[in-house]
Amino acid sequence: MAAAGPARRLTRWTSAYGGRREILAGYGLIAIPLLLFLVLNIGSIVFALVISVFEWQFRGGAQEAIGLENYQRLLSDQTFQKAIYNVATYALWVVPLQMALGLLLAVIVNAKIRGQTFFRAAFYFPAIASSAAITVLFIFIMQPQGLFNGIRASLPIDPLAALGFAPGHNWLGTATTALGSIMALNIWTTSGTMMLFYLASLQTISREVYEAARIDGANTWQTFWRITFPLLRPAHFFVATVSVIGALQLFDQAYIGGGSNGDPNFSLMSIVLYLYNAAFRQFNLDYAAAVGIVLFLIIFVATLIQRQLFGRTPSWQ
Amino acid sequence: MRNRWLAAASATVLVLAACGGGGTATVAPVATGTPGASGASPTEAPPTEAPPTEAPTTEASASPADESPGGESPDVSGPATSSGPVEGFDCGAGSGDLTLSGFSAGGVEEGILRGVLDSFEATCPGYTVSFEVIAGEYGPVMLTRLGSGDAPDLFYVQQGYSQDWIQQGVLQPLDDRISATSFDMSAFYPGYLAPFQQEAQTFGVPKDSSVLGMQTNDEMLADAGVDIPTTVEELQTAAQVLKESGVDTPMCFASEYARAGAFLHAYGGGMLTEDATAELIDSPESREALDWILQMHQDGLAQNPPQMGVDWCGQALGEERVAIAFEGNWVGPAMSTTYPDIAYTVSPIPTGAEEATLSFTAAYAFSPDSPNPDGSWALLSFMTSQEGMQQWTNGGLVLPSRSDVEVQEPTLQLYAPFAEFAHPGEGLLPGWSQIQDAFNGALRNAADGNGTTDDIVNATLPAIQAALGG
Repeated sequence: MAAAGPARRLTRWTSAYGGRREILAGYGLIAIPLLLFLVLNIGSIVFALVISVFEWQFRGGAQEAIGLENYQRLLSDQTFQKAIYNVATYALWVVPLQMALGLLLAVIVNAKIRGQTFFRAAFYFPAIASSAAITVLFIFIMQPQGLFNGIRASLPIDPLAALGFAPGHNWLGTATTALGSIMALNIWTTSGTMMLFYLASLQTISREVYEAARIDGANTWQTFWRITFPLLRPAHFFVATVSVIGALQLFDQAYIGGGSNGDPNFSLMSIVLYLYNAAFRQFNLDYAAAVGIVLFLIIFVATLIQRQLFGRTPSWQ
Repeated sequence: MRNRWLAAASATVLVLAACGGGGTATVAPVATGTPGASGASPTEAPPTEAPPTEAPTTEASASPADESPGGESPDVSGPATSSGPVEGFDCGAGSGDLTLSGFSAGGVEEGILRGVLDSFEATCPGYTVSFEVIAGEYGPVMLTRLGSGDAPDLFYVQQGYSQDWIQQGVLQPLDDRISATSFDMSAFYPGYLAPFQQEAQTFGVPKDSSVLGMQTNDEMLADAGVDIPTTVEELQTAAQVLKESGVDTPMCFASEYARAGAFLHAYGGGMLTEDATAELIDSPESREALDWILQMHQDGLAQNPPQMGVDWCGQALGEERVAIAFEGNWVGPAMSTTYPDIAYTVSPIPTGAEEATLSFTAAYAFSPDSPNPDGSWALLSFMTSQEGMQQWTNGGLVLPSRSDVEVQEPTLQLYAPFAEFAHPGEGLLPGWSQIQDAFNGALRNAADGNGTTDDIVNATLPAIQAALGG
């Protein structure tokens, strides 16, 4: 009798999702990726959680249990607070701008224009180039005597000079402009990826909808805001999520631009950079694991919030 | 068409997910390279991130020993410079294939190293050695490998983090083997050995060394009618005269402990006491040195590399942007290849209360998980023996860490005497990186005019206290 319940449920389940054989085949197909995911992703997170509550040596492993000490220290650490502040500022600027630019590029590239393939490739190119190489290039461009300031100097009117930036302004070497410079870099390099996501979604919108709109007399502007933009809602959710996660995981650009301390004056300190420092410059593995867990929670919560905001299934589907 | 773009997008998603789910194109930290070493970081001079042995080295730097002027004692340059066997070396009873892991400083250095390894193989025929270069971030890569028990037979340990590695248990104590084989430790300069010792145990043996000196541009000093300064007061006067004679920035002064520390010691101060048990940064001597350094910046007599838009002071010296620089012996190879026409003179760091400079080194060490500990020790003791180190330093890139090894390369001979008054430039105790970071950040701010000596001391003290307490 006791076994009848689950057995009946299984029967109902098998009839709903096809035969037992099909279920086995399905699980068989995903077995290897699922196993890798469980071991490498979920397993690592659980292991990091364990490490974070012990005093942990690189070679010796667990030394003694220290409970939540690392978390208490972490949350009261000023540099970590600075890292959270930097990353939050970064995400607030980068995510909307990246999405807007990505959408704009996708719409442009989706239009029937000559050289469509060229533009697609050109806009996507920064995303596939090594971010380390692009960052190094960017550092050269933004030097006080670099290309960027050179172009400013050759312009008849320099709008940035009006904002109080000297002609030889050291963009990455000044605490107030370093993060902004890295934001600009990342908006440029990553918008190509966002374009790709939007483009894939744009092409799923049925032509009939646009035809109907045209028959109703909608102009291009109206078509975009009333048809295209709302129908891209699943893409907005996806792009926003990926973009926020990427922003919260800011590391390489900050590291290459500002060294391991996010110089100048911690202006480029990010959470992952902080984690890297804890593990490989301070050799505090358990503390670094605690940083990783906190970052995981931040990303997890941010994603849940986004899901609540735009993730619900659209009413028309 | 639609399907193709969908497929491309989903492929990208998969790739991104595999890389850790970032929207940004993330690369593994290992692949990013050391900011300092690439010379690309606007805020850090190469030699802090890239310690002396990793500093720019190039073809011409490897002046073979036979190019050095005559007068060398033949018994030193004779057998040691060849790759032949060293007589009387105790190889022990072991045998096998050994792997030595390290960072690479270029083909020349690797060639010299190979020569010494060949010599070891000839001396101890039971062993063969291969050198494995760890590209990118040596420290993190090696530490994670050691932590997981995947240890090479022998590897480099840099002075800057040696104390931390000892604490993490990844280095094998060597004392038993030192006494069992009667390995002579007395020849090593104590200041070079100290970073690899903890609680009266030795965990690594310094493979070579580098020291700081003062480099002055001959022509610019002659034009201004200035003699080479030997004291801090003379240095300040010389810089003033140079500035009046039209040199905008007379001195290049990197805002970091690895350079400024030499002046702290010259004034009789420092970061920590000699035994590294208490702070010294808040002493009147250290404060006086910091006051003086900041005064040089305020008066426009000195600038740091980011302020000048150069990667490091060697570049400023080579491009004749400054007349005086304070760098280590690694400046030699860079000058002779990149700026061969610039005539410069090497002198000691000007004295304040005393003669002082900073030293930098790396050690050979092995892991408690070493697959062949007898082989590890045989190779370690050979590389750091008088003969092995003689052959290695004859390559002309670095100075020895033993006082009984003769320096043969002419430029290095100028730096060699500084070893007598050298203090360790980094890695004085576990947690050094935080102390150094705090000091460097505050010094950089102060050099930019945003801070005082008080700010530097107050920023550094908590880091020292944390390191001493932990």
